[in-house]
Amino acid sequence: MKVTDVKELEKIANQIRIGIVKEVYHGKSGHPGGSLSCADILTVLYFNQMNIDPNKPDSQARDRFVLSKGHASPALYSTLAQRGYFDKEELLTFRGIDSVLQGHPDMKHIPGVDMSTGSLGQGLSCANGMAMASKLNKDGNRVYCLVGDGEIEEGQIWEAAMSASHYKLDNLCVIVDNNNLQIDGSIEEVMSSYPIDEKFESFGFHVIKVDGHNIQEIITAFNEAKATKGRPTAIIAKTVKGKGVSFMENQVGWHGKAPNEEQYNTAMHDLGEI
Amino acid sequence: MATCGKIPFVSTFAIFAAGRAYDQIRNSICYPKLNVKICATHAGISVGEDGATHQMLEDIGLMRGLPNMTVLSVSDDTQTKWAIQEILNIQGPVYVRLGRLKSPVIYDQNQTFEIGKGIQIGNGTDATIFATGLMVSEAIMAKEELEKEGIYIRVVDMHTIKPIDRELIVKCAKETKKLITIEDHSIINGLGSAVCEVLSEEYPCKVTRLGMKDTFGKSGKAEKLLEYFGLNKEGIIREIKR
Repeated sequence: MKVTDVKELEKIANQIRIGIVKEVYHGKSGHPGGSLSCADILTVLYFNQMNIDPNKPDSQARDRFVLSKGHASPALYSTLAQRGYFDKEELLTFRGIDSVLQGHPDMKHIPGVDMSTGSLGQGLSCANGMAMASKLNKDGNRVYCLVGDGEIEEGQIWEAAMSASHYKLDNLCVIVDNNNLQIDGSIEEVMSSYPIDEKFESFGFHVIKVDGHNIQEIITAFNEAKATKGRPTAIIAKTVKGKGVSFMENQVGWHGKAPNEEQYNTAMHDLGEI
Repeated sequence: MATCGKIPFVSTFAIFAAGRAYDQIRNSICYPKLNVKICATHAGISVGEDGATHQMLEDIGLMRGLPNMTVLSVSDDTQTKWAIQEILNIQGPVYVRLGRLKSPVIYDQNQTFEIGKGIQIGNGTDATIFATGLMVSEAIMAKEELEKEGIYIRVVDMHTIKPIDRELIVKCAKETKKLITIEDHSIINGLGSAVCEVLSEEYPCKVTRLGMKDTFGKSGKAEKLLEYFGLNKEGIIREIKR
């Protein structure tokens, strides 16, 4: 299943956003802001780019995705449910004691999750390993890794970036969800990771800058990454934290907080669900 | 900063403070015995919904294994205030373990504490509960409930894990019929292990360790998780009556 129609992909992204808000509302806990900011990127990956089959979540030659910013688990779970990995009803159990949908992605129990993440800064190293294994096996698959712009303040990210470039992992694509906010404030105030593009360039990456909410731009960037040989690609996606929910947009307070009933209704209204 | 005479107080989630930074703490703080105070928050499964990746269950073990390190695990607001002041008087690295969950105030402001001295609460001889951190208030509640049924236990608040209060552990082992340890931490290498190490050398006897039994935590409301893993008043009462 490959969706190429941009309008159709936009509709899917909106459904994913609705799922995100439902998860966090029903779980009364979680991280809506950074989940909403990456919904369009995940939509393009899972519905347009990645070679995957929800019926065979463990197939050897599938493309892989590592959600290094693991607290955006609501976005990944909502995407996987939309793509048919599990029932959408499961989303309502998010973070509950009897749920498989753990606060942060758990590859042992959730179909479609390629790597357990949550401790920030570690996912790119894991993606490197997957990309290297793919080359050793000659599987021909690609590996995608989504990191946060606050997350890349972690030193391990840059050790991994150095390795990815050193080993010429051109089957690896890093996407930076550049929503400009982290838990304690703006990136510039807390610990500036800027200029992100020049950093990745100097580490040997092919760098592409996109509007992270423009589906066509995201598709074009992933195609360019695929065509780039001899070095890994980093896509710097400029995004809006809380995108799609009026009162959450660009608000640092919605990094890790659940909406109350009234806020939930407003969010559903914003997303056209009611 | 510590090499230049400052006393750094650093704080982050215990999973990062003790886990991610372990090698740095070992080689750049404990080995040179630098005066650094690590105040780690969000320890244990009582972190709740964030789940296993953020629930630190091994920090007591990691930290108490380090030479030169002092390890505290405080049980309430009064004790926390005392500890943060008191550790200024220790010349060398200190790890203070703190939780996330709101917890009852146990001690009034006049209560005195001493590093390395556990606090015995009650004189019951049916059992001793060695508890630390959040589990102290649960143990006290268990004690009060058991008294109504004619079972008299004592609770020992082990706010200092290292240096451990050897004298008090041995005294309680001699005076009480049953020994139980409880901690929001793995039963491997935590308070339970520390108590057993003392007793195996000085007064061999049976000890039951309550805590996380060689397993990761999971997502859920903190209170529900504590109930699920038996780390509450009810879990203690069950064990005493068993």
